Amino acid sequence: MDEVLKSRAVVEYKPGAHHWLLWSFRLVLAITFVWAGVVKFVDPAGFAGSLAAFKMFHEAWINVVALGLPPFEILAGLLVLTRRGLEVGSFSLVVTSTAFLIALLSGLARGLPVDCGCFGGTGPSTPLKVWIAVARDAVLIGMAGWVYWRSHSIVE
Amino acid sequence: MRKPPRYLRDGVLSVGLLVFSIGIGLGINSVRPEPLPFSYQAPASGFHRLENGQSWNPGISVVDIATARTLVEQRAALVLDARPDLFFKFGRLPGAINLSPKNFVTDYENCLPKITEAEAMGVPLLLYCAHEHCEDASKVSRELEKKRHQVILIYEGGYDEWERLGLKVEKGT
Repeated sequence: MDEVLKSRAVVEYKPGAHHWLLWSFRLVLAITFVWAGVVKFVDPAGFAGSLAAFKMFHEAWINVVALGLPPFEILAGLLVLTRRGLEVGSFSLVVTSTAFLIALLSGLARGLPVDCGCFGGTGPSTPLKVWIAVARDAVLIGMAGWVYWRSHSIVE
Repeated sequence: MRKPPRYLRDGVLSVGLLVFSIGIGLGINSVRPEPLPFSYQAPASGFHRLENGQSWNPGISVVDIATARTLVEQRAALVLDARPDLFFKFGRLPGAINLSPKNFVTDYENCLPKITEAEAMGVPLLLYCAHEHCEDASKVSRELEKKRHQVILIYEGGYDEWERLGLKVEKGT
């Protein structure tokens, strides 16, 4: 009986400071990515222009990504607020943010006038703007990664 | 039977979510008033392209760096910068005035005397924005065409190409 109780205790989620931090991160991630997704969803042509500036995609794929990524961000952002979808949602956000980070660093390294387009538009680019986007993505990867790591401790 | 690692399962589910999202995106695109084409086209690609030395006709045309440079250096066009005003202040093509899509109504009112004077002298309007993938110059050109301005040229390479080539720029207000 003790063994059964002990094994349940290992997988049972114990509320504490981590609980509130986890919920805060989930909320921030959800708001950020849903907002980012909506802004890009409303102006897919602008986002497509941002993607084209990276010179990483073939022309045939740019508009497909520009149309598909915003709903993906919105759905993943909403999933991190749910219990069942938390793992796949946070995993998706880690992958998305990592992809953006790699693209930004690649653009910087090649001296391209890239704009993240994360929150819409193909606004003019400056190195400072890109480095701010890199820092923001790094923070989001950290948050989403921690949420994913902690998600297994929630009772299924 | 051994369970697959968590990240593998979540990776597969993420791919499924992405495919589903692409389906949603393409589906909604098909009912948009102005759907995106399946294959990407640069914003100015739909306009007539002028070769260097070719004379321009009424309407919107795209020019390259050689033509743009000639027009700017000889002051043979009214240069309009379609970028946000913050970037306009950081640097712009010589003689440019600011006409951005975000602030179009106010900017157009401010620019109208110069535009009218230029057109009276038979001088074309030369628009540019950040780079070839920026759509601001195309947006402004369409607005100008709606207002019946005649000869509108778009310098496709934009400020980034001009600056990269080390050509002269102006800064400040």
